[in-house]
Amino acid sequence: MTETGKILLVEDSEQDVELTLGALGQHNLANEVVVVRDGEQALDYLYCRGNFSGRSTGNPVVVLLDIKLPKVDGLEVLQQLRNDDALKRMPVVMLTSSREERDIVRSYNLGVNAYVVKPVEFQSFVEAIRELGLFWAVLNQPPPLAQ
Amino acid sequence: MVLRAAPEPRDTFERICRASALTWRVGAWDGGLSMSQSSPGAANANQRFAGLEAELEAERDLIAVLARVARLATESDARGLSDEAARLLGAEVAAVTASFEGDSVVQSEDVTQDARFQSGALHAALPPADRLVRSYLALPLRGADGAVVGGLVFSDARVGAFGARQARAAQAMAAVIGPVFESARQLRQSHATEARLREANDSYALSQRRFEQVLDSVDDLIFCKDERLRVTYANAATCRYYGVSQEELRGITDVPFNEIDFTQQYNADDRQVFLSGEPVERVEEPNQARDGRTRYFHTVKSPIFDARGKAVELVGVSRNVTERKRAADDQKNLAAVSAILAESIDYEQTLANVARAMVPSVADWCAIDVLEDGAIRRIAVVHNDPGKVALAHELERKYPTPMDAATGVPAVIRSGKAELVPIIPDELLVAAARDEDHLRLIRALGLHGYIAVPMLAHGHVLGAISLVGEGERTFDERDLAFAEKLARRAGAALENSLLYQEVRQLNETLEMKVEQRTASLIEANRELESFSYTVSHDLRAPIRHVSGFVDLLRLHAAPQLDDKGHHYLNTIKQASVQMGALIDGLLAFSRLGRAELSKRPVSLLDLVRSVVQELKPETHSRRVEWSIGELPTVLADAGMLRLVISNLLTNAVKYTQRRDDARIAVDSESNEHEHVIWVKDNGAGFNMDYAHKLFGVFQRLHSEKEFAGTGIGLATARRVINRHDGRIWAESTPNQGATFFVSLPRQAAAVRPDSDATGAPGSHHEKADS
Repeated sequence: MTETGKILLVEDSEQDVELTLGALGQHNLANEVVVVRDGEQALDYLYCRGNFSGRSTGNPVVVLLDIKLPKVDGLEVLQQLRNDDALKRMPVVMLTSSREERDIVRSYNLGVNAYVVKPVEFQSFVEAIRELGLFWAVLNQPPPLAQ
Repeated sequence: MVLRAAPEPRDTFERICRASALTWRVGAWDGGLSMSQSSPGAANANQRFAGLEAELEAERDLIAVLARVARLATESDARGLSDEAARLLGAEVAAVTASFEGDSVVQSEDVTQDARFQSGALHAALPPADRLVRSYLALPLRGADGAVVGGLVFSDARVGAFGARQARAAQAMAAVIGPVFESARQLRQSHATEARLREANDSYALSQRRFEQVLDSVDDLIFCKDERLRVTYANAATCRYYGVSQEELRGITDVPFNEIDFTQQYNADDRQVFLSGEPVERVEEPNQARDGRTRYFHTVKSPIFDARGKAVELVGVSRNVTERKRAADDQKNLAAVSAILAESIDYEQTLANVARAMVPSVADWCAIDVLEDGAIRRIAVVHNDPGKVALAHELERKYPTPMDAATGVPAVIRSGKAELVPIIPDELLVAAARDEDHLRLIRALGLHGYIAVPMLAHGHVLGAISLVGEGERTFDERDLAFAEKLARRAGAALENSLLYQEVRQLNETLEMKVEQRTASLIEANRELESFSYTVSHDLRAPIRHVSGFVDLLRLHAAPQLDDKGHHYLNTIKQASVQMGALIDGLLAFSRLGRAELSKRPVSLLDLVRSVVQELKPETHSRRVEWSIGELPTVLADAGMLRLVISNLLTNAVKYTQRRDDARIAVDSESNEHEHVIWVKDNGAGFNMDYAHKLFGVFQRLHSEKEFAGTGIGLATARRVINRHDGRIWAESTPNQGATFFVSLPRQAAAVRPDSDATGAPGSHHEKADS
């Protein structure tokens, strides 16, 4: 349980990563964040394989998942998690630019825990990230491990 | 003056007077006939009377003579004589004639002195020259049986002229004349009877001639037969039709060259007429004349009864209906062809069916050829005998008709002109045959009559139809006319079919094109969606980044920046926020076009109140007077309608921001078709010249500096209202405010809110200051 409390941020945009980390940093949550750049890496991380085969075990308290990602997109990642008995209870929050109804509907149909549209206004964004970090990393009681 | 006998005749008296040699005036009472005869001596009167009797007996035309005299007397001077007689005799005449009725002789020595005449005064008044009658003698004429048949009157101007001797002579004369008169009258009567008989005979003969003339003048065949079915009469038309004389027909029971079946049927009908006493009718009775062709008659045979009511003869009337039947058959055949032609658009099958329909009713052979890319192709050959069809195919294969043949299908197709050969002579076959074997094959076909007609459509030859008759079947101009009609219809159908195929091909091409176009439209739509998706994601991200990093920069570099630096950062910040708003508006707008409408009853009053509530933060520093009237419940997509109301109210708030006494009113009016809702403000308003630009995307009538905005709001409102089948429009005067109207069609589910719920009448308007 060495990595308990970690946040997995799946985001391909350099700037978004920096802003998100900046926002989390303002609330001292930045050091709890693992950043991957696409869906494949996210799955590798969660299944402890590929570049992450050597990582210490344990699931993040929450996955902040962008929808539009290289290789494997956010919705596909979510679908795979939900189809896996070991990972289906993993809290997943969509953190995305898309307000498209179909994205929102599909996400909820796949069992997302929350859907957050990144606000244009930086301060609002900071606020949103802070609340997300606080809620999922601190307040929320994560599900028990499947095994 | 009525006389029982009607003696006629002046010259009878003349003769009598002559014969009697009377010297006195002689008068007869009929019409006062009177004449004088001066003849001396009457000694041998008896002899003369005897001669007269013989003379009268010998006179064959006595009646004619008497009639002539009577006529003369009546027509010329009867009246005059009558008057004179009356004048001479006066009223005495009545008395004198009356005397004959009594069968007695009347004799007067001097009528003036005779009381029976009572005319003394009258007579005396006459001048002496006129006193012609003084003596008077009248005696009856008797027939053989003694009955009075007339009378004789003698008069004389002298007194006492008639003595006993004269009286005896007159009596002897009357005795002779009486029977002559009677026999003459009888003769005349028998003459009259004879004349009547002769007249009757004449008129009978005339009538006979008249009827014969009539019967011979008609075109119908009229004939009579007796009980043994022998012809007793035949009119001229019948003789003409069979080519035999009346005499040849009379007495025979059948016409030798008629088909035996036909004759048997005729005789069966004849017997039925005699048996039943009722007419027999045949509407289409076949018959063959000398030329062997079959014709058709409408025949009615009726019985002729004798005085006792027995049918002794029959009269038949036959009307030639061959033309009518052929016309009807042609119509029937053409109708059948039309039906076949209408059945299918597959012309090969259709034309083959047409050919089949022609055999054997019209011809024994039917072949149809079509012209395809300059070559003639045989589509159908039909004959009832499959062996013959095979023979024809073999013939065509072995000896194909050359395209440049002078006659036959190629010539017909080339020239567009029909060919008619009523009877194909053997020489023609010999001439057409390529060799002995060919000739044998052609002869084996047993061709007799031949017609080939072009199938034309709009002047173009599309092919040809050939009809061939075998055995006795020949063709004439009428058959040709029928074949041409047939070919016209087949040609039209063929053309239609070809056009249809062309149209079908065009349609298929068109459908393909439509499919391609649809596919490319779907593709374009997909691209457009993906574009808006891209905008949604990728365009917003850099804006967020600009905005985010400006904030980070400000945090990071605030101490190092001077006022100008801060101003620049603020400007960048504002621009990025504006850009974000634009993108969000655009996305919302594009989403509206795609989203499904989910209509349900929406209370506009609740909706407006809720939006007004939302706008409170924007108006908290201002004074805005809201006036909300009675608003209906409408059937609409609640979320979309909220966008519209929100846009309109936000605009009203925005454009009244320079007013110290901002007033915004929302009200409605409904009729049976629609609800009209309006939002009226007293704000900046706009120039009506630009009203048409109000609802366009990114169209603004005010500068960004004057009134902030994206130019998306009203475009969105219009799109929503359009999708609800409503209308949106605006009226305004610059600086005096604007009114925006929205109409929504009334639907069954739309109901007005219960007016009691909003209070008493007249208090529909609520006012809220904020």
